[in-house]
Amino acid sequence: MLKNPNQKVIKRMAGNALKVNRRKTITLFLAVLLSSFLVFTIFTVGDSYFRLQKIQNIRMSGAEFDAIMYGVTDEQRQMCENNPDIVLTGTAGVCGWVEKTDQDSTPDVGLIWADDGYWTQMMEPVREKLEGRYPTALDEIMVTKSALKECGYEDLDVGDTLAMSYGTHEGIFTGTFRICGLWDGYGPKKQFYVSKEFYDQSGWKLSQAASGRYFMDFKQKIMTKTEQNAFIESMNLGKQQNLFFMGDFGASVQILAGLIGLIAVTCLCAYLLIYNIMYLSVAGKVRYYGLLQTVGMTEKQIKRMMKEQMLLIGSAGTVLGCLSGGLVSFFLIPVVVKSLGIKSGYVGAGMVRFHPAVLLATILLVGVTIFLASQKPTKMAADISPIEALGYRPTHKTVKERKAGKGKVIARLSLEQFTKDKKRTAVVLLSLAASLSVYFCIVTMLDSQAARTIVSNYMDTDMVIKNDTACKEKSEDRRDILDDSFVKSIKENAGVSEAHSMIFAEITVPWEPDFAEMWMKEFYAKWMSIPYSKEKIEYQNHPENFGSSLIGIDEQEFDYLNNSLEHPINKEDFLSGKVCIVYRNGLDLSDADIIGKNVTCALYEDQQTTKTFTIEGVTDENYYAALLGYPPTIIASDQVVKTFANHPITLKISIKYHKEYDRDTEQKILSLLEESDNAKDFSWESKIEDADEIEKAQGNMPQLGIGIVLILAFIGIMNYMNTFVVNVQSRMTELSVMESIGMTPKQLLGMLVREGVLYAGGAWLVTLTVGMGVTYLLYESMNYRGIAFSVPLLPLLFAVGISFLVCTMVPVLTWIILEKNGTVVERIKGVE
Amino acid sequence: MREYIVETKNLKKYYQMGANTVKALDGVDFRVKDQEFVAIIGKSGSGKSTLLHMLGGLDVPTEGEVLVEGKCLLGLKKEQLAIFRRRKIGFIFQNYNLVPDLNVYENVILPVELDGRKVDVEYVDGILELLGLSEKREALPGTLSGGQQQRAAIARALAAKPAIILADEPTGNLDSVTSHDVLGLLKMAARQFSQTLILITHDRDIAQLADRIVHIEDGKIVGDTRKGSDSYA
Repeated sequence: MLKNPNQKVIKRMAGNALKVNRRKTITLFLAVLLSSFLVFTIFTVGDSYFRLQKIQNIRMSGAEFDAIMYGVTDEQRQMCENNPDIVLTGTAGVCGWVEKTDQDSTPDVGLIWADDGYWTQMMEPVREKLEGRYPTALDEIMVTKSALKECGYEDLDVGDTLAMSYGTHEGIFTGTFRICGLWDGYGPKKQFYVSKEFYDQSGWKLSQAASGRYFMDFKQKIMTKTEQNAFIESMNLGKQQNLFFMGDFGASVQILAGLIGLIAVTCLCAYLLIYNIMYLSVAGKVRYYGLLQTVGMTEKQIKRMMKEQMLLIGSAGTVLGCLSGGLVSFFLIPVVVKSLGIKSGYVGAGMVRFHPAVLLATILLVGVTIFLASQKPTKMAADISPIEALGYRPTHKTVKERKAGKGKVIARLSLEQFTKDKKRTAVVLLSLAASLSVYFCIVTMLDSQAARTIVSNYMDTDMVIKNDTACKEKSEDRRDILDDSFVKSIKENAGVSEAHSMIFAEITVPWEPDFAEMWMKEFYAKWMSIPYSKEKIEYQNHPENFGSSLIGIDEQEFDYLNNSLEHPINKEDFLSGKVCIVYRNGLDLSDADIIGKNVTCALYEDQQTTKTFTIEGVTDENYYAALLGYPPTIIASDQVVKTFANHPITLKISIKYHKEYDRDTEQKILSLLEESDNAKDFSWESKIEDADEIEKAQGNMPQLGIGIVLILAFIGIMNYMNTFVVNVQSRMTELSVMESIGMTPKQLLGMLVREGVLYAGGAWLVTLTVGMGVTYLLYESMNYRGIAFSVPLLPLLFAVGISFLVCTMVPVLTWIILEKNGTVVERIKGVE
Repeated sequence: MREYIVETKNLKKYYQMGANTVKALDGVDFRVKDQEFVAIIGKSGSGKSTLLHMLGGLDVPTEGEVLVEGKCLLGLKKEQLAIFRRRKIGFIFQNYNLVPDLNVYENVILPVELDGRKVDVEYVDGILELLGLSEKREALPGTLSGGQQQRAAIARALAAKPAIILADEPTGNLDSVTSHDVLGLLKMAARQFSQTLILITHDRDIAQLADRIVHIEDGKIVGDTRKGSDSYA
């Protein structure tokens, strides 16, 4: 067969068709451009979003690692170093604390040593500033401004010296240290890093769980719970040792699944948009293709011509889409990020990263989508006979007759329109529902991950003020700086709704063979490096060397604590001093081991004054872990403690405001603390400060999340708009006929509004059933903080409002615009 | 009693086509008596369809007046025009213009339903019976022949019991046998339900069925013949 050189003709025809049908060409081009732009941007923004989330986790834990072990033996270190799955290890040793300085007698600063792996590599991502070098000599320290501030020497700098009294395993010492380095960044900062030599002399050993911290970074970034447990098993942990995998690492499988799910939903949205536009556009031109057949174009040539058109539109649209996506991703986002205060360390490393894979994936996805989307319409146009095509009007193909509908005519007509082309309706509903579901999911996640939601504490207090002098070793150094008059002045503040004092008296728990023996045995096994047998005689003869705390709480606090107990206790017995609650202190003792036993305590300064309680409750709430001794911390009624002890002092006050996160009230309380003579002896924990800290650590994560939401909402709305514009366009004759036989403009618009309401309602129905289910699964898969699933109402109502508004206004506006094209008669005749 | 049900006074409709002004209607004075059957004939582009659209309130004149039952259509709002159409006028188009998603019965009762009136089932059944569509009441328009579709369109025009039926080339798409059938039915129905019938055609044979034939050329009435009488134009 001779070759028929008709390529040129086909190409010219394809080009001409695009030029002549300029409006449709532009719509298609915009559709491809927008879709590739969206896919590209979503991939890139999504990638950035999850990377930022990872950065947030690293910042919050203070270093980049996957697992941490408390206490590590040489053998275990050797095992880990030989393990090919572990790419990096780091070691740190907690080795003491700053007891006092000339400027502050109650600094809250720890001493810690870090090896090169931890300091140089693992902590690198959280450091924003580093001056000087890591300590190498015994009297050198690496500091932070906040640790210096705690010590009262905020103005010191690298090269300066700092005299302090410090404690180690060996006792309390004094010394002068030279500041050889200063750093700033994220994670725990109230610490001085010391040299290896200092650590070695501190008396601590890395094998002790209270001191050794061993950090591991795994090669394998996805590790199931079973694999994690197998690794923990292989480490042969001692009783005091613990090994934890980081939350995000442990949940990495689920996170990946969630990420894939999110991308799948966004791709589905993009696919539906392209498919719908292609389908509607080609379906609307069936008559044109029929005409081409009548003048002699073969099916093959028609298909080729259509493919040529798609190729032209597709390549131009994809190139421009990716370029504009690139502009947004690589230009706009870093600008936004910088303006949001993310420091150069992170922006410099590429807030938005370029992935050639993203570009390839976009081209491939859009290409495949265009191909798939045009397959059916192309076949449809090529298959139709010329005669049929010329008389083609979209209508029911297979249905020949139907029963008359019931109900009011306008509502019935809307419903019929909605159910007429089920596939098209389903595509649009799915597209809208997918966008709404992702909106739903991201808004829910942003809300639950918002700083305020994450910050939750015992009794939901706004502020806890602590008396730092209570931690002093010698009783004469302890002062009741949170006395009644101070509490009164706090309560006088109009913004304060509640303030509860927790009082404390130092006690001893004399040895007895039942409870005290059981407790101490378990305590030594769990927390101490020396066996209990070595210290038992000392404890029996000199209980005064084993001090502990008797805590007194008021009635309201008791009610709260009692509610949180697994086995609530009798209130009257507690208030009268018959029974008490004990803080478990992490020991492996069950409630059954403890409850019902008697515990006797003696006043530290007067061993003859004793009191015996029956233990009725056990709590794990570390709010009561304020002052720890070896024997148990006993919680009793404040009235009982006041009667028993001569001079109990207030350990801390928990304060609640009338209005949560009331910065004014907090400022007033802080002023009160600053103006006090004991200003330096207070420390506090504030919900507002914690939330601010988390918000800072989250960086621009919420903004990126909202970016994804907006883009997806845009896809959904675009798809809907496109569908309805084409829908109203193709029904122009039908609508005008109805107008001609007496449908008033009000009735017509009412019908279109009802159709919009059906789409919006349908989309929400899918969203609140299927979408909500998928959202829940996605949410749970990413919910490695274990925050309860709850839907934020305001954004939900906002979305409902917007979606209904858009769904009803689009058809109405389309009609109003198209109606201007001519009189009823002209529109019936199809004059454009 | 009013002598004329439809009346136009100096009716003009001009279109701007580039630099030229097309005079589709150029000062038409035209009157139709109640229950009269009038055929308007003329060549393609003579202005006959434009005149019919003006009478039905589907188009707005450039100048002049259209009075239906003594009421001037000029100045009526879109809403009022639509209500006027569904109550007073029954339209029949050359290409039927049935709503493709509604079955024959639904198409027929649509104007009544839009008006919020209760459907006179007996009456509609009578029309369907008369037009031979009883068997096809649940069929969708796409499945009917041209003749059947046009009969359905006639039924729709009659269903709301309008005073006037306006038919624009109702047999334009039909063969000659079917054309005569449809026309016969239309004429019979109009007479049976006491309606005024104004029909456009370019077929002189069909026009002969009317009581009166009005001839239009270049937007002007050039002939007006009543059956069995001379022209009085």
